[in-house]
Amino acid sequence: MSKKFLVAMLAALLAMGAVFAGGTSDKASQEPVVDTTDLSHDELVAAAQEEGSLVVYGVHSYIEHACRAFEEKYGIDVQWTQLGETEMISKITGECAGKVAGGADLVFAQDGARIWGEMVNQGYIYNWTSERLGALTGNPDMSLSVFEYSCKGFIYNNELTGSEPYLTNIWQLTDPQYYGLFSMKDPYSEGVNFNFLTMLTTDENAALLADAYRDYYGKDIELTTENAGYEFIKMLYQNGIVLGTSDTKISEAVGAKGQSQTWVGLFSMQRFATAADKNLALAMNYDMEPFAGFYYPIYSIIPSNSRHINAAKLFVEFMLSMDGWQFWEGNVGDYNANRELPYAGDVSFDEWAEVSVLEDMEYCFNNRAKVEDFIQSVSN
Amino acid sequence: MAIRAYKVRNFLRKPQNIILLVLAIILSYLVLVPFVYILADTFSVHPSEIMRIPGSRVGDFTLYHWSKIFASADSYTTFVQPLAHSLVCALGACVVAIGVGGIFAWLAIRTDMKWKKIMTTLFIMPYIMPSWTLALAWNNFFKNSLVGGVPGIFTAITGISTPNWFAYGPFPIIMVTGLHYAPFAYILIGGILRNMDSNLEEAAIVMKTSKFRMMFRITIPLVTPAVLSTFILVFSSGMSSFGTPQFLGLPVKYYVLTTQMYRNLNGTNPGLGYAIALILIAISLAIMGINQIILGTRKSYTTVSGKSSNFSLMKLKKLRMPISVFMLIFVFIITIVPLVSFAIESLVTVPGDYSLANMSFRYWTDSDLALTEGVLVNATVWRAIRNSVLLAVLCSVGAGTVGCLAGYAIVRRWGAKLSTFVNNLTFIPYLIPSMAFSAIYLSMFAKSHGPIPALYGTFALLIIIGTVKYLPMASRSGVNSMFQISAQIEEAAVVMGVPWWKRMTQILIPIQKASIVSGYLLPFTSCMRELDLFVLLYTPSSILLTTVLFQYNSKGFDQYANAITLIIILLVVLMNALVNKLTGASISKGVGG
Amino acid sequence: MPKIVLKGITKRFGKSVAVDNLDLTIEDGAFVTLLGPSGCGKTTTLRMIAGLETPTEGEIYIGDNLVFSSEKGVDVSADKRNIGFLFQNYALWPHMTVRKNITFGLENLKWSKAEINRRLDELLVQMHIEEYADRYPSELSGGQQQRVAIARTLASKPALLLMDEPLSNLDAKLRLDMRAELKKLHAETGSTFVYVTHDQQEAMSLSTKVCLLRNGLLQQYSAPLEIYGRPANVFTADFVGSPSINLVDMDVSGMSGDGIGLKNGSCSIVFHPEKTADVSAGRKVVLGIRPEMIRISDSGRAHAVIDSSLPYGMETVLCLKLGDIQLLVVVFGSIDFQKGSSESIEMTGNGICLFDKESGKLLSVGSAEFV
Repeated sequence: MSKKFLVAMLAALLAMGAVFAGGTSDKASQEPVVDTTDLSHDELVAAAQEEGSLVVYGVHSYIEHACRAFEEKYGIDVQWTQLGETEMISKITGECAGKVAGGADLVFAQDGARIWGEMVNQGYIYNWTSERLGALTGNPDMSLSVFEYSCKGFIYNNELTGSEPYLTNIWQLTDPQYYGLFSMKDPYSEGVNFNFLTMLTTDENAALLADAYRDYYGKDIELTTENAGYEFIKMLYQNGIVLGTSDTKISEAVGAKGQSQTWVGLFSMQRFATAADKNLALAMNYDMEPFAGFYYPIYSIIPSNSRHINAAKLFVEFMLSMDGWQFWEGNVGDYNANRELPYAGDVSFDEWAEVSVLEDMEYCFNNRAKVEDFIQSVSN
Repeated sequence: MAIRAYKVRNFLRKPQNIILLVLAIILSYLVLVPFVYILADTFSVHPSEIMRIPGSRVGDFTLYHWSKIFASADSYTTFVQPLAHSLVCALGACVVAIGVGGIFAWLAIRTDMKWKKIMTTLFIMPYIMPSWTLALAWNNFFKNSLVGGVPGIFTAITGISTPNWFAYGPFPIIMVTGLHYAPFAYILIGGILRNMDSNLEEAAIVMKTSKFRMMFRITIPLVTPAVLSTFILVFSSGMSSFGTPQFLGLPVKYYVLTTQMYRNLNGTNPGLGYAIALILIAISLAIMGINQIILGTRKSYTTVSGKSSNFSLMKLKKLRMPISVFMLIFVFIITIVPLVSFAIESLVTVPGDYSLANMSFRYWTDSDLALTEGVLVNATVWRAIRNSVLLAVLCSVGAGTVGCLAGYAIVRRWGAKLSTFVNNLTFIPYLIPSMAFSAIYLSMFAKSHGPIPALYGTFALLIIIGTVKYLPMASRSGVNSMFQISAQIEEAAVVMGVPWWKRMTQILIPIQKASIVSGYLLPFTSCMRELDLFVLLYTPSSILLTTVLFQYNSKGFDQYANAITLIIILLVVLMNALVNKLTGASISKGVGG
Repeated sequence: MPKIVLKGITKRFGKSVAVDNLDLTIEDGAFVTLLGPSGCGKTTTLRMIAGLETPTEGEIYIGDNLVFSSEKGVDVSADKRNIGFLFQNYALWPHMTVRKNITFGLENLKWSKAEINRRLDELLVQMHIEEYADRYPSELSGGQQQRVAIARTLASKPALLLMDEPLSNLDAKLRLDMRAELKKLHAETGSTFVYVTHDQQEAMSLSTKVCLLRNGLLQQYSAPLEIYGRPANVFTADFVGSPSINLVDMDVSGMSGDGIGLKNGSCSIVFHPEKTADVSAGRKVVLGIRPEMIRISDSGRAHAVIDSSLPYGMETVLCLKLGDIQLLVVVFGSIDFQKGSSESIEMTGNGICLFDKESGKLLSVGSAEFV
């Protein structure tokens, strides 16, 4: 090929690129439109049945059961797909940006930082209010309606530990004598874990960590980083942390009987539910210093691209009732946003909130990149 | 003006010119324009990056991504180390593939090893299977409790706990990738060994050269070009493979370029992901460039493939039985045993307990399970099966047909600028790692541009990317098969006024049936087992078997993941066998051609 | 029956010129060979007539029809030129039987079934391939394949038959047979034949007119014997004839009577042109003497030494040394000459050619004698 030809081709390409790259760009600059129609339950059911079908994405397998129950109750077809958390956000924003037909009508999403940055900030959320449904959760703005709070705790294998609580202080995890015995899900594959690590760096939590350090070692922490939160992350990563790909597998590894060492994992407390079935030895200490785990909201979000708004709203309502919640009933560490609904285990939501860290989506969004980079720099 | 109009008319009267022109335009858009997009993406701020880059707005120009790769405190961890890991894994895989494939080729072709037929048939299998199946099998056998999940079958049987280096990270990645591409080495090196003029070796025997010496002085130098081609192919495939390092590397935080790219693209720093994609493409281009240079200087070797193949088989004598048994076991281990492990793992109820009492079909057929419905009664799985088969059929029809037409037009106008241009265009997708390619399409088709609608989330986008990505295989076989038909064969029909479509369908295609069918078969098989290309682009409505598998695997739904793996392999192998029966075309023919 | 006219036909491939400004008229019913060494443009010319190749410039007429003109933007496609084309490698369709190979084109022309079958039978008989009708090309010998190819080409009864080195892949004996058959075929069909070959014997023996090309340029377009006897230039003289013509460099020494005195070393020759030729002394020329125009005879005035003797049975080819000059001589009959023996030679007939050394062009034909 001659040079002239190449140059001409390149010029043509650049021109093509320039034309197409211009394209359309959706900016959420104007005030968002808010849907304030507040239908009664029966009206909503009628409108939803009119729409006839619903596409639901979610991170959690339990929702599948709720989908089937919803179908049965209202005769509305539900197409359900389970997605990983990180890819779900990418796919939803893609669908909203491209106004893809057949995309999700309702998503059950976690990872507040990315929801904030990539959905709320981009205007990809359908804004709506409902006094009627708001009464269930205490918040009539349903745009970022919380369906439930999910908890992850520091859980250990109690086969060798005896009846005394084994895990009393979070700094045990960074203690070299327990090197390589702590496992959690890779934050890169599930953002809520990143959000938790990010939350450790708030002034408030850093102070709590510093106090706990003093309690554990009897001396003040010597900072090589910004605060005790960062210091903890650094020490955790340098103490042989094992990053898994799924909470299920981590719970199985931690709880498997017949091990010679005591493992600790940070994973979903739902795993207690199947522990007996799988013959796992799992326990946790709610009095652990300075906190026993964290919890995060699972939002039921109607994306701006939704084509079946009323069916989606009805599903949101369904999930705030016992009809939808029945499948979670036995799950330790899951609390419906409708506080009237029951929970499993002995610990109430308020009690848990007391001993654990709540994710603040805006703080996480603003600081997570910094924490990600920080982890990159200390993890190898 | 009249003359110019006549020239245009005359140019367009030839079907090959129309094909070339249409392909040049469409492929420029689908293959070259993406580079403009991806380059732009590496210099702009994406929604999830606003907080990472203080004071920026979405779409702003930024040098953040490139400086993070090359000029930041994190360069080492974000780029240099994954690059080093990629290089180590790719090189290691080359050594394994060439070693295993080469030795097997020599044994199967030049010696009197037993049971050759069954062994050679089985040996090709890993190549037909998805590249990550062996990774999953490795995991089934050797996973240890250090990384979550119960120990694997190996530990269950022997009680020996596998060390981390053996279960995860570079060692298994190298072994698995190497074994996956060993059939490649076998086909390429075996081709040379089969055609090598044994006079060359006989001459050495006459001169009383020892067999050993002969091997090193004559046989090995002669197969060097085939080894080199294998090296290039395995190396570039190893550099761009995603599934295997994702499954085997992640548990020990062992990142290679592709997994690093994936986590950034699907995470909060897509700009960085795009930049890594560009780097991966640059590496592929460099490898191909080196390949061209080496091939250019070594052309003389091609004369080796003489016709005489009446060489005498080397007698293994006392070693015949032990070697044959050893190889048979080895071949079983890399082909049948993984399949068995998938079957077993899909039946185990309580993980880690391999007693018969603990096995059931609940994860296949039970619709009332805590996690999700059994794979055979699962709506998502069935949707995925339907989508996967449909996609594979459409991509293979697309790539096969375009490749055949492109081959025709390229050969008819061989040497013309337009023809060379289109020929290069059809080959470029081969150089772009799947993951990078899909990353580009993700950014290109996320929104509508001019007349082209936003295709993200549509099945059409998957068909387009599959067709374009597999076009190189099909167009190579198209070009090769058309080169084997003299132009006169067609001209004889031209003179008689046989219209173009009839010449194609009644003369050219029937003559090269087998080779053209492999042009369809290769894309089909590749598409059925493809994960990397679609994992970024699929949406739940276009969910595929491989993405379901990826999903289940990362969730830790082991039984489901193993069951789905088995379904995929079964579909691919069945389809291959069917086409092979019907047309005589086969994968190995396509690869060796 | 068509007459073919090529006017100013030029074909360029990139920068190289394959055919350069060729003017050619092929009479109706002629058997014209396009002859020349490989790369001379003969096949390109044939393909341009057929419409398989597009000329860069010029015009082509077949009969009264303008089939190509770069100026007027005319380009009639190959199938509308009513031609048959016989390919060098036969180009039989390997996946079709002999029968199908012959009928495929006719089916495409929408002939009726009955007509097709009648024509098929006719051709099978004509080409002596009845028994192979249901075989595939790969099951036939080279000669049989050639016959099938011819039958296929003739099937639609084209008025113009174009052949691209059709015999080059056959062995020597078969080639001779097929030559005779082609000549017969030409007589039977009455079609115009245009035939490409690099074999001058084939050209000489088959055609009514030979078109000799070199590097895309027309060298000579004449009847075979004219080409042989009156070659337009040194190249033509050298290309045609076997064993090839003796070309001897000479200097014009002066005029002697009606003759021209020529000299090369010790060898002196007087050349008698059939018409007066204007040649001045000192000019460099080339004398072309066909091997059969040198005779070994006791009356010969020159004495040559036998360098080698190649008896073929019917004739004997001798290689002689006349001083520094090498000469090929054909002697009728099988005579065994001793190497090294000296023989007297003379030149006979008036077919000896005088060429200009610089331009290579023929100056005159005439007789010559040694002095």
